[in-house]
Amino acid sequence: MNYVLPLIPALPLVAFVVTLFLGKWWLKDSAHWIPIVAMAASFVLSVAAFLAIRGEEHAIVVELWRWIPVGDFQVPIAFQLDQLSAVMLLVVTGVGTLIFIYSKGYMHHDPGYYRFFAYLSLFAFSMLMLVLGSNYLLLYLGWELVGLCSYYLIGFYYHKPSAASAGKKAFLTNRVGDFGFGIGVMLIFVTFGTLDYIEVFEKVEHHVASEGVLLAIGLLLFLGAMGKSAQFPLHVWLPDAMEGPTPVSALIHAATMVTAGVYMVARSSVIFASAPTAMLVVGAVGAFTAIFAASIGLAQNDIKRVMAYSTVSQLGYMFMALGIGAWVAAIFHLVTHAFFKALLFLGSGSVIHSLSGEQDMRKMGGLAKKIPFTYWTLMAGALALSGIVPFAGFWSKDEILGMNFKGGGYVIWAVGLIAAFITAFYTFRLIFMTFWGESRMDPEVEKHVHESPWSMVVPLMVLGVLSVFGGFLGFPPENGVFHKFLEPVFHQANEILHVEHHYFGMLDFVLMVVSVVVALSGVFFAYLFYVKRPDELPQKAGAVSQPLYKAILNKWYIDEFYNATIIRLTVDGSRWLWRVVDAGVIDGAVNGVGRLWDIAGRVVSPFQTGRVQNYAVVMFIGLFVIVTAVIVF
Amino acid sequence: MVEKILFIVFAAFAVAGALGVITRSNIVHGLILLVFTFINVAGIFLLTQAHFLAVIQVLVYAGAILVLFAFVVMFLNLREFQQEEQFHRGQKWAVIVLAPIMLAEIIFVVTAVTWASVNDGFSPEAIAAQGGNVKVLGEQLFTKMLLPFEVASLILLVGMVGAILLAAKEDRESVCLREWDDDDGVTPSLVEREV
Amino acid sequence: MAIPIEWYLVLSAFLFVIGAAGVLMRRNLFIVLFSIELMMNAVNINLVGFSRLHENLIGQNFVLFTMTVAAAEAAIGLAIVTALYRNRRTLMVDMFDVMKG
Repeated sequence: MNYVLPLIPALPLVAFVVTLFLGKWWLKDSAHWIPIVAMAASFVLSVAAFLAIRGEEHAIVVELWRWIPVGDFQVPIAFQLDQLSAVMLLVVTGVGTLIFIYSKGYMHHDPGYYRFFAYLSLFAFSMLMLVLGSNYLLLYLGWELVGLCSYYLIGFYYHKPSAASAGKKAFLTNRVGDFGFGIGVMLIFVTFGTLDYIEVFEKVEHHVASEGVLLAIGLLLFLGAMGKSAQFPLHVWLPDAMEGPTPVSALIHAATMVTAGVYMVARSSVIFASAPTAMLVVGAVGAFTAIFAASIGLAQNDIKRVMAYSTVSQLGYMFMALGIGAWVAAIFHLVTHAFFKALLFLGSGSVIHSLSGEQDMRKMGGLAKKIPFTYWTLMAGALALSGIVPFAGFWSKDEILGMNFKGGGYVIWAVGLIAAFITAFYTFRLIFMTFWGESRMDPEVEKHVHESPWSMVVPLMVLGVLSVFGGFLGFPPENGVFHKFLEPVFHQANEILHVEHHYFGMLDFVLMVVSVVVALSGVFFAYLFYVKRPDELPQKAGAVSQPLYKAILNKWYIDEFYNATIIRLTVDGSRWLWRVVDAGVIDGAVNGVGRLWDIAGRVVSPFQTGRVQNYAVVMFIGLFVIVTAVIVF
Repeated sequence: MVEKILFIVFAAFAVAGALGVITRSNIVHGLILLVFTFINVAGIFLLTQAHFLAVIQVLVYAGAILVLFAFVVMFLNLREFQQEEQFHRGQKWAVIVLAPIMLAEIIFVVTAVTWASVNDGFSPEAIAAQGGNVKVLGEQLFTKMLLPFEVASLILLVGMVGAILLAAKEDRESVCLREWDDDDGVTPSLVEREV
Repeated sequence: MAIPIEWYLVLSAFLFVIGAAGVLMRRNLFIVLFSIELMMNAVNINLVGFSRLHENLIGQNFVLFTMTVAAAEAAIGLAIVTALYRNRRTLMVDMFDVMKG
């Protein structure tokens, strides 16, 4: 393991460096090979790591070298392999490999081909560092690195102003969260004197810190998670991030990076378990985000934006689970979500690819026959997302809802249920608008509709299979293979929370039926609205709830609110600082100093006449004064 | 008594000559008056039994140096300068006011101090007994003062070389010289001048 | 009956101040050089006077060196005068003010 573990992030790093420096002149159109091979190798190593950690009680820590050895502040570059990081490794490298392969087809002919693969490799490296780090500073390092890659890749089409500003928006919004995260890390160090996971959690268990401090740490960490995982009110960047290429949306903004927040909270489960209020906040924010983002997803017409809001909403589910202490359920949903959301994004990408770049669902329709592979795989993903038995999303989502109900979080459960209904509705709205019904495509576009190349279809099929069967990892609910595997990681946190072991019972079955019925009704309503009577019902519904509809269409005016308050304030404040403080005071002072010496020079320079006798006379006068002074005094 | 009268006469002539030097507008007149002053100073040296110095004063100073001046004055056409203003306008008044006060102050200090003799044994009588001023002075110069004497010769050599270098016309092929503009205050520029 | 030292000093003071006044007032470079010679002579008178007062010959020796320096100075000064005259066609000191600030 000592050699395997460091190699997992090292391979993509090598791929990044090689591709970046050789890509432009040498690799060119074959720039994809090195990253794909590196990523696949990482995946194989991750499987090896997974096999090695299975059933182990303790984490394996591999220290490479001391990074920052300053007095008491010792930060090593060390990798920690436990069941949680093993799962994340598999998700990142597995889904990553598939998306790398997919990118080969999708990004073909793009002038920035090598650049794209270089960035993707850098991202893979950063994400693996984030997942593998054995202390909070390494987590923070990976956290910032993935944010940077996200910025690069959102703004990949940097010549497009909207893409460039979307990248900036993502970066700036994340800064808000990262600020909290950074302070949280500092607070951890101040409180516990170490940043190492194992040591910190041990000290938490021994009540080194008061609950107030733990609450503060928890909330600060969660602020970081809110930024990275796009939770309300810091969710605004994720929908805009869809400006990036679709593989990026799939890998970074659906499957892996945005789940970093979930990973981080799950990783800090001991801290959160010791601060119940923080958990409550996590759950509440998650539930609100779940329904809030789902509602916005209802009215979006851009296929990728629907997915984006869906991602925000599903991340909300994960935080809901974390809020109730259902750590495994959250990670389980993270995994299944990675499968089906990556699938959905890649499928949307395939649709967009076949339609020569069209993203507006109103200009699609009737595509099922023309691109059957895409249709069927996307259908599997949609069923998984909607939570239909027995697809992957059902098991994980139902477990979250069930645990909330049994844990007494009835409100959150109800909210989650409504969100599930909305999810099913908008998911199938997407399917129906895109693949069913009459064609609404431009005739010009329609002529060129074609199934995507194999490099794109194969990853879709693999992910489709995973979306269909992935849920059985967690079967039966709360006692599946997955749960047994992850048990050692959350052992400490569960002990603090006094979680009792549940077995599948009648109540669980009833709850399952309820959520299936809700999901199916969502699908049914979508069918009613967009297949049966697509010409009247949507308009009617829109007309009945006019203000609500408008609010949803405009994403609840969150962006406008930010524009009017924070951004406006910042811009006006900056302008004031520029005009008054910078131009007036600072420039004035600088210019004033310059002018002072200019004036002084003008005043004094006549004394330097260049005539030696003038100087001599002054000397003489000086001598005279001295002599006079000597005589007089 | 006679000495004192002679001293006053010489001193008065010297001061009058000096005043003439700095007031005359004709340089040749000034030169002649300077020679006159120096000869009077030589007289004062004589009165002080510094015979050698008196001779040197006349020979070297009044003779050699001032003849050199006279030569240069003759080389350059200086008549035109006589028509010009000879004194600095503002500065003149400052000097006219301050110089007499300065003089008064110096005289005040000089007379207020009591000067005591050290008496190293070289009274005029002793010098005369040893063979006269010139002999004693020469002996000292070539024994006690030998090193300064050699340095002085070096200074003269350097002065000579410098004078030749400065005054000689450049005969190198082309030299970068500062182009002096007759207009006042124009920044000089480097120009290539053919010689 | 020797001449009191004060007399020498007073005469020296006269010549020195007159020389200084000449250096400061006159525009003609020649007169400035003459005035410098005057000031040197004032020094020489002092040296000779003190030589007499202290009854040794060091002062007189020193006058010889002063004269040496004066000779060198005159030679260099006149060389400068000729160079200046050749370049600027004037000897009025206040014309040489290229170093004006």
